[in-house]
Amino acid sequence: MNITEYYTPKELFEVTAKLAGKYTGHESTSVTYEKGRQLMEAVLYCISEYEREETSEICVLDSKAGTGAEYVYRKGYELVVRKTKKMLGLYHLLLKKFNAYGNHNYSDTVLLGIPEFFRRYDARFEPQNHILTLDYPVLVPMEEVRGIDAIEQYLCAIRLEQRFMGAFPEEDVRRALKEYDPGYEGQFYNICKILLKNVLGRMLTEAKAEPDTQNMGLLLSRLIDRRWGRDELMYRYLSIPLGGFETEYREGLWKI
Amino acid sequence: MEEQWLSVLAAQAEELNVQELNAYTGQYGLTLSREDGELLMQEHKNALVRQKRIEFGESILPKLIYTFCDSDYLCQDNYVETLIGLQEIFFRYKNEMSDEITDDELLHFMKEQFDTVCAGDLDYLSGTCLEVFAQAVRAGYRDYRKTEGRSSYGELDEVTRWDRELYLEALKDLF
Repeated sequence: MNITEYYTPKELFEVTAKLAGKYTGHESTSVTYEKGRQLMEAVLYCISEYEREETSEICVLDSKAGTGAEYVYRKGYELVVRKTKKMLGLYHLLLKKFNAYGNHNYSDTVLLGIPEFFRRYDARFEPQNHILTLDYPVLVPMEEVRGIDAIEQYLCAIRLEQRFMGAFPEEDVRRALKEYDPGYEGQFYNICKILLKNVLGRMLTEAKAEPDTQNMGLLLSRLIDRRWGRDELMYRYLSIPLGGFETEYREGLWKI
Repeated sequence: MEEQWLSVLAAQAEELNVQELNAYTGQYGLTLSREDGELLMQEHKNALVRQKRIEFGESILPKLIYTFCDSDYLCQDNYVETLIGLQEIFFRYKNEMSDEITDDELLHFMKEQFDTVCAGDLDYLSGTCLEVFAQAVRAGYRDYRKTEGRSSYGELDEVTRWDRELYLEALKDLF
């Protein structure tokens, strides 16, 4: 649903006006277009957040009563705050066993970058801005998500990677990475993908199977079932690069 | 999105309550006609668009009028024109100071300089006093906050000005 179709510009403007008053401490009657746009986007972000969580209830709210957009915005903001606290908790759990396996970009992004987000994130006046560039690339595309949603998606991806890599002895992981690229420590690619390719390569050799997406998917599914039980989320995450692996094999870029 | 705002703003534009304003400014010999009020509101909107600013609630215009109406440099002849100039300057310098300064602080500063150093000259107010002040604010100067913008130009003024006592003495010597 397109929010700007459901709520009139006037309603959204009024919610933004209240937020602008809070922003300026009621000490300025005007803001720049840029700031106004930022505050309007903050309102839209919170409303979207609420609409993603709730279902039909939102549609029943009577916007003519003058409380529709305001109510939804307020609820959405509360959700953003709750989600931020939840992600902080998840991050602390992640930190307990986090291992970057020597890759500087991985450790810098997770150990230095993410805390910066929690220090600077402005849930009220700029919830749509996740601040960081998230230099360590995860396997899921991040272009479509913003704000705390981006951090949620990112941390969930890191958690899945850590679970996968943590199932192997550390020296085996480092050896696989070094075999791929002796200079992997200073590189900016996803190291979980490197390990996954290495593991699948061995499994394909053992099974004498063709490295196509279907076979790799089956082997991955068996591996996950054996180690972690049925974990749909991990399967979906780790099967993202399989198509790319098949292409690399067919182009002679991946030798098993 | 910007186009939607502008259309909402245009629809919301309040009329200037000239009667209420005149009830106060009349004591200084200054009044606005209905047409003056409409002109001021139109120029107000134009100034906001030119300076790429948006007002979400009440307009600054009434406050600006109440602040300046007792100035010795305002008379009925230059009243509307000066107000138009002042509001343009106001929005321009809110931008120049990156909104570090509140409305009241800027108005107090502008009024004080308009009445003293600038002797009612808008070009001097904008091109000298406010320019110098804005540079200082951008560089981190924040002492004006203690006085809400009043008495803030003295330490920034680059021009050596006459001290009042010295001026009177010099006059005595001459005559």
